[in-house]
Amino acid sequence: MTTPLTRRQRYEQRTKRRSFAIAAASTIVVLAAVVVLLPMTSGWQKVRHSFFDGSILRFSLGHMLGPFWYDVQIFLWCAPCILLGGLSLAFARNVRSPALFPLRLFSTIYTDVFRGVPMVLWITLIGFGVPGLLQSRNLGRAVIWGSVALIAAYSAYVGEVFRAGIESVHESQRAAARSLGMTSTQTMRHVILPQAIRRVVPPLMNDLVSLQKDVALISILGPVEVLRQAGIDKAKFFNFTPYVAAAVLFLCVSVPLTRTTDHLLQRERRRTGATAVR
Amino acid sequence: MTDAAAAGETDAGRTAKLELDSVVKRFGQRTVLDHVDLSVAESEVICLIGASGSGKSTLLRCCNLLEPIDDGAIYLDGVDISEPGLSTDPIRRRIGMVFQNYNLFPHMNVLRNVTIGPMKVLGQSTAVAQVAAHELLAVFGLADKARAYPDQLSGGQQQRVAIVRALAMKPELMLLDEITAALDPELVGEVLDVIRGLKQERMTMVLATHEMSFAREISDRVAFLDQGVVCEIGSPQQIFNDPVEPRTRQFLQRVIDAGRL
Amino acid sequence: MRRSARLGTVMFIAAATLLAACGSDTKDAAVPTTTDPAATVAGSAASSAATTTAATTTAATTSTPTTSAPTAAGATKATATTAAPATAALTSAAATTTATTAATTTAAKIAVNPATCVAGKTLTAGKFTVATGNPAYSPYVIDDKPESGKGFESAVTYAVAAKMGFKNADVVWVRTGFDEAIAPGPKSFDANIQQFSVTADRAKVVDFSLPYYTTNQALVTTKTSKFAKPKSMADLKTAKLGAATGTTSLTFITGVIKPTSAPQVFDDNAGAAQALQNNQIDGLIVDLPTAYGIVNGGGMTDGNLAGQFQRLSTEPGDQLAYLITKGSPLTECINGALKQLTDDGTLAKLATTWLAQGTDGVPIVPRG
Repeated sequence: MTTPLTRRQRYEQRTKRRSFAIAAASTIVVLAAVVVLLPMTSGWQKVRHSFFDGSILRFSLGHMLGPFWYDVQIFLWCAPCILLGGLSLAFARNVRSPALFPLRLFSTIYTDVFRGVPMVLWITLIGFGVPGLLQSRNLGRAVIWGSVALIAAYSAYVGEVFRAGIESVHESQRAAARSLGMTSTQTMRHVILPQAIRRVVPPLMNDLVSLQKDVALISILGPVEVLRQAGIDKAKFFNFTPYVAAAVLFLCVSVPLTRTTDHLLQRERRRTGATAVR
Repeated sequence: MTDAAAAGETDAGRTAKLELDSVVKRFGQRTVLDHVDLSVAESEVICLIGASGSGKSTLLRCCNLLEPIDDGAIYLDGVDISEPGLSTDPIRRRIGMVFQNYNLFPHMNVLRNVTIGPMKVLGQSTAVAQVAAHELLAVFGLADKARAYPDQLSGGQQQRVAIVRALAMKPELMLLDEITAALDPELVGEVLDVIRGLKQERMTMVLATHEMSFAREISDRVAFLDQGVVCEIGSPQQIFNDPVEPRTRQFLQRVIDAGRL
Repeated sequence: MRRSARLGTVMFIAAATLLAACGSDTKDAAVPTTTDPAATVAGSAASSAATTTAATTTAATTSTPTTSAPTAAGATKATATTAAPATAALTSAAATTTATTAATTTAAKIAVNPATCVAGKTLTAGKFTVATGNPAYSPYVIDDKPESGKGFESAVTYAVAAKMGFKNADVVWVRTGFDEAIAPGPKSFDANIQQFSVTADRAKVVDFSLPYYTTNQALVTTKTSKFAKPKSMADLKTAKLGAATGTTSLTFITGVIKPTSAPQVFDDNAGAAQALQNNQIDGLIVDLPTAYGIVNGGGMTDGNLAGQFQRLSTEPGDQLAYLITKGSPLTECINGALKQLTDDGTLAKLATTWLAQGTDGVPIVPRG
């Protein structure tokens, strides 16, 4: 049943085999270098005990799950709010009506200000500042205002991503939708946004993954989340292994997250034809 | 005709389906339409010919209110639709438009492309819109493409879907902007057949086109545009065989020299 | 699709390598008596007996051929257990005495002359490089100027340096964060002084000198707080408490006070004080001198030093010591100096000068 391969197929097979061999060889060389050379460095024993202490790693992983779940929860309620906030900002920056110029001005200034200041400062300023004004145990909870700071600042980043996506959809799509009699809202909702969002999923994932890491900054305000717990354990044992444990936990979430999105995107791309997303 | 009533007072003197009265359109310093007058009667087919940049596309886009005009007026059924501040959406739904580059929605399949207008704009139910869409697609030989995405179709098929999408809105008038210009030569015929079919159905149409022989065949009247001005308008026989204006003659000569007529 | 699969493989290999590195670590661990951290975390603050045992074990097993005597920290702790029941120390001055007594009993073992000991053992010949925090807090260092000699830790350091034969000008101050102090690799200091508390777990990783001070944990609240005058520790069960990260104060909350709501943990005492001001927490747990510094040093507008916690006779208290690189030959020299300073009463005098005035008479919050 074997049909003879064409010249092209033979060539491709050869190339594939060679590139696979190169990839395998280079991986092995790098790993070998890590496994063989690293222990030969003079500080390896110390570093290994400071960063890769097996018993501390097991201990940390075990009792960091609770604090890490706290991180995940904060992420889970912040992410949708940020997406909504970012989208609203993107709309506000896209308004064309002269009457709504103040809205556009506001959103532009907002974006500049919130992107221009490091996250840590926003968390500190909002997280300690607002509860100071409120003087209320319930309304002044660190997690509330920490989340607000995260949402406020990240919306500015995400808003720009959405705006870029919206502007990347060609004007002719708007013309086509409007010529059918669709209102500008319907055009945005059914024609522009679906295409824009597909385009910005990769940069959006970037922001979400870094949000997942920045959630840890809320610890400045008092709550014990995973990074703080790692710091406490570090101070207890005078050993950095808890940080490695925290890193492992973060990877456990962010790697599947990014892989899944990539996979979904690719499936979507195949479904709508190879060049549907131009 | 509630929309028409809402749009403004009907001018009893204007009986044409679509009428342009001294329309001016500028892009910055450049005047693209310079006091254009044009009147399209019910069921009439008018072809706009002229060199690239003569204002054909802009004229069509102005008729559909995609571009606001700077001066003059546009009447649909005798109602001034160019009144600034007028809600444009109810007017646009009465006018179908087809673009040179199809402008299908790439993230929707053919059926969705065709039903989105009737469903979102006319408020039809999914079932009603889909039945109508399937009928239209079948008429234009696209019955088996309902589930396909635009990128899986040939240019001719895409342009036919675009026409179906416009027709699904049951427009009173169609504006067709160089609809064969982006097509491979062997695919032009299938799209022109569709237009011939529409003429049979007595659809009012304004076409911007480079297909001179087709314009001669299908038009009731042909308008020659040059530098934003309607230079000459008349029957196809008169324009193509016996043009009055020297500029019309020059243009046609160039077309003949290029072997396009 | 294929690329992502390959990426997954690489990540898997990386993870496996990491785990392998950690796994092999336990097999040929340098310290054969590695205490299970899970066991120690439960017992460290609550039961001092367990802690002390662990410390002693560590000291015994880690003593290197170069040091003839057991590591100072371990030795002191071992003695502290025997000495403590006799003197149930409650005030900070008395606490210092405990440490003093402890050191005296081990005097025979640490017969090192600090003046002749240091030659060739410091980072820079003829200089004593000492690290402190950035910033350094009052009353341990006044005005963040360790070179002024003002503030308890600054004064102690100049006294220790003098005993080791250094002139004041030979003392070089550097700054380190907490992480820098405990990171592997070469250090920028001979000794690090920023209220490091001695614990058994930490002593596995670094050397501690003899303690230069022993303190109690204290509670700071706002003046109007309902926890402003606690009658006993039990009153604080319902309080929302805060502490700075990595401190024994935090261990004290979770291990001893055990309030019903989880403690809030801050980068430093400034953040904790702010949260207290904001009414986000009811109280802040810190060591007694620091508590005095926060309440009186302008850190808070309506701070209230609510009390210091009673220490049980079985507990060594919060012992502050110099942090020194593991196995450093300098440790015994510093210990020799500290012993002399204890013997001649200098440490006690310095403590009175810099710490006692504010902390004397602070009400004691009994257990129960």
